[in-house]
Amino acid sequence: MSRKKILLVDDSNTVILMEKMILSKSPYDLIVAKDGQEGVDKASSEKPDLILMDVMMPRMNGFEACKRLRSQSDTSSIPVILVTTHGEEESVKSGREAGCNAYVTKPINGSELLSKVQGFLGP
Amino acid sequence: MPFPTDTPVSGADGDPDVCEEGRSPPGGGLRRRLESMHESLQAASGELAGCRLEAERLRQRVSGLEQEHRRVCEEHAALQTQVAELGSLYVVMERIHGTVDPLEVRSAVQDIVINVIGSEEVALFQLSERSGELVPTQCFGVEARGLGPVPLGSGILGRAAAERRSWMLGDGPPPPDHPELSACVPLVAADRVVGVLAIWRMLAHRPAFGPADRRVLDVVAEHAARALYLTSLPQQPLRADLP
Repeated sequence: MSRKKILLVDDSNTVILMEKMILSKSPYDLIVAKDGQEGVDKASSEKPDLILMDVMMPRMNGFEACKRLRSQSDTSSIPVILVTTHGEEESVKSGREAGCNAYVTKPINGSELLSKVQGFLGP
Repeated sequence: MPFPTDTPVSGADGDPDVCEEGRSPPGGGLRRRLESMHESLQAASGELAGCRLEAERLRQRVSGLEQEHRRVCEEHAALQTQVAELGSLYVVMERIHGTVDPLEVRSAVQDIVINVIGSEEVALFQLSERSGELVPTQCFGVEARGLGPVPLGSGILGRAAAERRSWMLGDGPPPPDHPELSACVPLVAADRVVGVLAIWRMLAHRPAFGPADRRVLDVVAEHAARALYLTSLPQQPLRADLP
């Protein structure tokens, strides 16, 4: 069985490092993009099985990137988990409207992240 | 062969409780049946007592297993917390010591506070050798202009540096000059104060400062101080001591 591929989109090296540390224990291939635009581009070229995306990023934020992904036929069905500093209703609502499938809040909780990722990709 | 004449005839099969006509004598059969039932009841009663003992033994075993299960779950949760904490510390080390550029060190400290500790209101102050004051050099979510410079010993931030003592939420009443402060930690390296790290409001969904946060913040402060101190030293040619 081929390994699942996850695209990590975040401009923070700290978050990328944390996500890599949490997810590298499971059999996933991890690729990285540093902003929303690069995330959309890499999603098209790499066809990941799941995208883990920050909200506040330079060039293109997570909501906008998510909308773009949903509007492109080759990326429209890729599940997106938004990583947000705000768990408030408004932020979650904006994420859902943009087409994201789930969200996790910062600071990232390893068990929560792994469980959500496994919910989409399996262990 | 005929029965001997002196043999008492009690029944067709010789059962003494059965009369000549083949009927039980009044009370005889009943007594036997009652005795038999009594024996059965005694045997059942013995078995029941055994079952009760076994049930009690199993109850105790289940209770023991439940306790063991709870203990293992608690240990597992504690281990997960430890792993998460170690993971955070690894990230802190990697980010702070992954560069020799002081600007990147400051940026890394800010990034760690936002993403590992969980606050979007943070300021890093560095001690100016010239003025002897704490000068804000990296801020996020708070206005640098309203923060400094802070003379050593003045207010909660100045006192943290002068006395080399941290203040964290829960240590006492909120400081009057920064009522929304969550923590301020002096940055000390090579036995000299190099600055102060201050954190105001934590992210709304995040629980209050706990012991694990204190440990992480202490490590952040220790390593940030070391990195800021080292990156402020004059650069030496690499391995200049070697021939």
